[in-house]
Amino acid sequence: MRHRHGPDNGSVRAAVTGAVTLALVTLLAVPPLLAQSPSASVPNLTGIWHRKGPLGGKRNMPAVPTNRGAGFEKAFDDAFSPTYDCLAAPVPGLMNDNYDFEIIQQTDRVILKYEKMDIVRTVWLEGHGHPKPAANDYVHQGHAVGRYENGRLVVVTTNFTFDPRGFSANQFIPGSTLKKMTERWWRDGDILKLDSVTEDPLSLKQPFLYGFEWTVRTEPLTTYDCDPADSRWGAQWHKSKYPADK
Amino acid sequence: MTDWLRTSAVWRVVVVLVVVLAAMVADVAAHHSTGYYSKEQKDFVTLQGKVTRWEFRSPHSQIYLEVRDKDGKAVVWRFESTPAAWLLREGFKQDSLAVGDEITVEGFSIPGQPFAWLGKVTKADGTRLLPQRSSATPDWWKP
Repeated sequence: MRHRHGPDNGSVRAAVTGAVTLALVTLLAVPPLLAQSPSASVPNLTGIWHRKGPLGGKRNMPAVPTNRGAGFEKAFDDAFSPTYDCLAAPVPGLMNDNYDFEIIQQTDRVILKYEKMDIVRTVWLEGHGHPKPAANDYVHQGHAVGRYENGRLVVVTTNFTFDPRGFSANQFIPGSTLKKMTERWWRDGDILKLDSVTEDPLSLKQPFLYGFEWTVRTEPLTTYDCDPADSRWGAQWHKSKYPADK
Repeated sequence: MTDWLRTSAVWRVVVVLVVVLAAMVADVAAHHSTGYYSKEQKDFVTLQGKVTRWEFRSPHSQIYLEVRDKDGKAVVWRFESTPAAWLLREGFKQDSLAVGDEITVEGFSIPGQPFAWLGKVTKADGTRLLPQRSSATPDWWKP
């Protein structure tokens, strides 16, 4: 006499086998997102990058300020510069300094680690449910959101705090809280390329364009470890634009 | 009308020249301005002495050099240079110098002060340490 044990064992086995097969087929068919292997749409930008020169050999022109921006620059006294207290300039100024940097591509974000002042920027990739900043949420290096598009990483950064070094580490055309930077990164062989546009309706008469190229670097980045006392030492020698207080 | 055009053309040339000159420094940035170091030849110093401190760091590496003045009195000079990350590319290392080393240093001083921007170091064995030229390095100086 044949005994029946609940559902038919044969059908259960078939269902489990089918489910496992379906899972395997799905896993093999889906692109390896975790591995971030290069594809036509996702460039392989991961690596440590050494400064080469302006994009296409074309010299970058300085930012052109509005009258308001120029007035600020004229009035600004060097002693106020946050650089003296180990605060790196925000992008794009951070990038126009003679230091290298590293890109680490992860599934849902891209990390940029800068040799200058050991700054770390996180680019939050779209489509991963990252929360947007609140309306009054400002960050020194801004809030960066990225996407891959036609073989490029496109990054849009907003929500910058105000900084007197809005577009360069050594100039004082200020970056307002309305500043917006759009970067396009791509790889051409072993050359990393950047084309960027920064807009600021309060400070800039026209968008500030900055492009650069980097080559592969094999040595690890050097830790900056800014010393605050050393950083501020030079401030005492700058002559103020203003008479001493009595 | 002709005068205006001529004047306008002159100003256009001036503006273009200013923009071109500004662009020549647009791609170069440093930690901060080092304009307080003199670029005049009269403020250039070449000093021989003993290392009392060597700071291989950022934003500015420093050499402290004990020098004897003409009366034999010890004066400590502070030579400032570029960040460690830059010096590494020029062959400097943490152990490139040590306290007690007898060296000769060339630099560009703050007038009247025992502080200078580092030009180059020559060690007792003849080894030269040459930092990258920066905005503080005068054009006339040849290492």
